[in-house]
Amino acid sequence: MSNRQTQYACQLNELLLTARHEHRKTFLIRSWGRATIGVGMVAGGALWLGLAAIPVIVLGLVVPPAIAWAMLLRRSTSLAEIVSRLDLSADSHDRIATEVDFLGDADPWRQLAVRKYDDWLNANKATVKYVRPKLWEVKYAIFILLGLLVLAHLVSGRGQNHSEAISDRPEPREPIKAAPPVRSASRSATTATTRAVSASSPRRAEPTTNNVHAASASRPDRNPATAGASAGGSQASSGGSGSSSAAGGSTCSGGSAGSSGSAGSSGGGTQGGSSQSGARQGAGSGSGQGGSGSTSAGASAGGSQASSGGSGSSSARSSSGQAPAGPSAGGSGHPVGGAADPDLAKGAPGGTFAGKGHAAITKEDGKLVTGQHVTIRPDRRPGGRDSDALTDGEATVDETDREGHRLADVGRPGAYDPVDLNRVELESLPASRRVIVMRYFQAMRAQALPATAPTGKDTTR
Amino acid sequence: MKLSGPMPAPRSDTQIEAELATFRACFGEVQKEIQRVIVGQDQIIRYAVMAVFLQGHVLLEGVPGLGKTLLMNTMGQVLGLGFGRVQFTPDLMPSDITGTRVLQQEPNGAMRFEFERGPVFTNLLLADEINRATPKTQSALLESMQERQVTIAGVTHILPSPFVVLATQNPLESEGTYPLPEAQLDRFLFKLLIGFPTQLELVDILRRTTGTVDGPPQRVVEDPSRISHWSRLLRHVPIAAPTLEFAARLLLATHPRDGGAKDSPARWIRFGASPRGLQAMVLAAKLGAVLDGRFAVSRQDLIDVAKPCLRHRLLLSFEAESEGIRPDTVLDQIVQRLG
Repeated sequence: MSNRQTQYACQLNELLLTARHEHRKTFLIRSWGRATIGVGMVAGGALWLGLAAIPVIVLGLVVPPAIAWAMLLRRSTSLAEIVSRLDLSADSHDRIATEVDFLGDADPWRQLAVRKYDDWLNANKATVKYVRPKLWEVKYAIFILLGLLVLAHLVSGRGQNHSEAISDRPEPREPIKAAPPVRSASRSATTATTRAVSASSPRRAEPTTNNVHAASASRPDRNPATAGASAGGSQASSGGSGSSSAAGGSTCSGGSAGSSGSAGSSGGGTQGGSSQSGARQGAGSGSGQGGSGSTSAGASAGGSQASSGGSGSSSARSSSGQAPAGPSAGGSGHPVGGAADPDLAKGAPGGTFAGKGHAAITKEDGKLVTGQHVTIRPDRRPGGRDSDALTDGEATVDETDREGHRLADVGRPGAYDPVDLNRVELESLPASRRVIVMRYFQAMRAQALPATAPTGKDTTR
Repeated sequence: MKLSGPMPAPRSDTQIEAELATFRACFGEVQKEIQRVIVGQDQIIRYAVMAVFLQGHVLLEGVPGLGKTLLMNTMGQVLGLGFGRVQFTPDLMPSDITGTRVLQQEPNGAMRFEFERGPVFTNLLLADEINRATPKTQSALLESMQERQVTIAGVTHILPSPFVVLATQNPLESEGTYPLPEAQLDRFLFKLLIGFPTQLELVDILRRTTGTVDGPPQRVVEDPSRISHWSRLLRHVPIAAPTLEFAARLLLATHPRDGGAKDSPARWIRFGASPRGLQAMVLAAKLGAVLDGRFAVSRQDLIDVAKPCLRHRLLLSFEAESEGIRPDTVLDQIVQRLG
């Protein structure tokens, strides 16, 4: 542009300089915001798909500014864009737009127009202002916010719906064979063959003379009484090991749940307590009787205490008779219902609760408490089903899915089927990915169940 | 103001400014002199003079007795242009307009054909009641209006410059009339609707026409070539790209491309304006900007001339006709929608 043309358009240049500065600033902020939202959604999707988090986060920090600058460089050079942001009347806008259009033209007619309009601009300079554009994001902020919340909800795994698959679960469960005794100390506790039967299978809840049934509720997390029953089961397992540490290793939650259970639970506990006393006294047949009321809880609690008594054929009965009752020596409180593991029987950390054909949960420090780190590994004992295909994995006990099922409850009746654990390696997966794994469990369980359907025979002898 | 002699094309912005100032003064003088004769009808006079300076044709529509012929006659006198008048009737032949070859006997007794020029060979041609002639005769004006030439017996005759047709048509008479074909309507730069004078204007008309005569109007432009010069000059008036885009949008909005949407004014239109209408609009807007003292066309200039430039180029639908929708109403809605 020549000096003459610059002289003509000095007011316009001044105006455009100011407007361009404002425009760049506004546009940069807007571009950054838009790019951040876009990249944030992409990053959320990447996390949801289980990609590594750190590269995604780094990407989210780098990409939005880069996109914003690229968009700015592309559009800030457009004078028409800047002029369109000026707060002008239609006639004034025409004048400035015309001046901008003719600015670099050497045609005398156009230069005359530029000069005249620059004079006009000089006289009306105060009326020309830059208007900050209204961001459409503000208009749709509520929808964007809702979208982000939904995305965050999905990424966190809270939105998974497992209820349908769980409710479809057929009953009864497969009978569990007790683990073989490995020590003489626990042999007395395991002379009575243990069988854990789901409370929803009454035909398996009938107590026998030599067999002790540890009744457990199918949904311990939905019923305080059944929760107590499960806790009692855990205690029973600990008792089954014959180790004092294992006996004292009853879970806090389970213990409290059991205590806070119904009267039946208390009754069971009491009766179980008597059985435990009997066991400590060396009585070969400490018997506990489950209280009435919440019978399953009572039965389970009683079972657990009786299992602490351990030796002989201690039994706890439910007074109601309907709910399965009966403490079992070494009756498994394990969700899988497996028998006591030889390693656990040793009282060493890392003892395994194992059931035939099921995965086992190993307690690292002998306690199964909230927040505890447990190892999920398959049953590799001879005769264990799919043992070769199962792989180890790790998870925290209190890790839950969207319905609140704990990861530690994998394999627990009513929760997830441990058979499917051989298909995943939880340890190598990020937290968000594990949610998908849980969904996968559901899908696979429906296929696995027919193969694992109980035969009705007692295979625990 | 007496203007004579050709002027050189301006080379600097100062010369351009001076030339345009002279033109504005001349235009004002012409208007003023015509208004001495024609009472009221200021917009009609303005657009008629604009059409002459743009060398465009004007279609005047109005009831008889409103001074259409007087306007044309006065314009010819003020602008110093030749004036011809043709009264269109159903038996008018094309040769009555363009001219014909007649057999002439030379002094030596030899016979030969000579071209006898028709009334079209003039600067200002008043085609009175043009819609009363047959389409064949109407079409005789097509070539002269667009190419400004007449071809007879294979010989092309150039019309004098400027050549402007000012046609009138009576909207009331439908018996024995032949509506102008769209092709010919499209060749008119403006279509002006002459309204009935107000009471004050009627009183003024009576005072002027029934009293003493002030005398004939004065000639303002001595050299008719200056009109062509200014006409070429006006084409240099710049128009910015955004304004051109607006003009194109305005024209496209007259086309029922959206399938006749319920809320679209184009639903009343069967056929929209042609590109020739866009040219007319831009040229008229350039002249309007100059007359307004500006040196570039604005959107308002386009809007101001939209009606006279486009109203006769819109072919309204049957629904619009039945509901009494006028082209001006449709154009108002289109302009309003374009903002």
